[in-house]
Amino acid sequence: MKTVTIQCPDQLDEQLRKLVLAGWFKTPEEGVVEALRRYLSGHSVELQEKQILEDVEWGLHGRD
Amino acid sequence: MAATEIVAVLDAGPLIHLDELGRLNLLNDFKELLVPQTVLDEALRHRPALPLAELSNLEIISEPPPLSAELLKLADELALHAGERAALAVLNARGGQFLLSDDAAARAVALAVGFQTHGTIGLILRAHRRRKLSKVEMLQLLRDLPLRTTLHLRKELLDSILATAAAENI
Repeated sequence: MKTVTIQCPDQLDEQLRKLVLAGWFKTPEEGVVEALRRYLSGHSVELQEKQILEDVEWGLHGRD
Repeated sequence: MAATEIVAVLDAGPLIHLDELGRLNLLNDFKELLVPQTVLDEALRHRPALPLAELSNLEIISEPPPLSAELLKLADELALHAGERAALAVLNARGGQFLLSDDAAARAVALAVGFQTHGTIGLILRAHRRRKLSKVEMLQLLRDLPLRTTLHLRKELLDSILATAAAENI
């Protein structure tokens, strides 16, 4: 497990702490890891490149 | 579907990148072009002099409708930003067909609920197919992507796209 030190804007930190207080996460660290996991799941290199290649096909051969 | 019938909703990416290339006018080739104010604000932060007057079909949506429960769940799951959420809400509420975005997660959500999504590269190639750009202009814009825009592309992928586009006889 890596240790990553980050600077977080106050507003984000406040929102994160509210989620912890509400019981969504045990710690702020757990919330950060979950947010990162969700972000990365939707922004993988493979997904982006697949979409770009589909775009190339549409751009060159689409009917609209 | 004819281009004149297409209602497209803009996310910030194509607005920013086509302006970086000086070809914002490629977005005129849709019946309606809808942009949530949130998206426009994001684009203006990157491109303060964005020449919106070039877009004759542009409608700015100041108050996007709320997301449907299905879209909200997907948007939360993929941690979409406010602008991407607003664009999806407008797309859904206004009966749009296309989400124009370079964000993989926003595009994944749009696809999951049945919309078409296209990005800056697709728009450049489409403009050539629809005779808005010559082949030489299209290829030059593709070559300019890493030089003049903030759209990040792996060099090998861009080279492959250039080879495919150059081989086309449209």
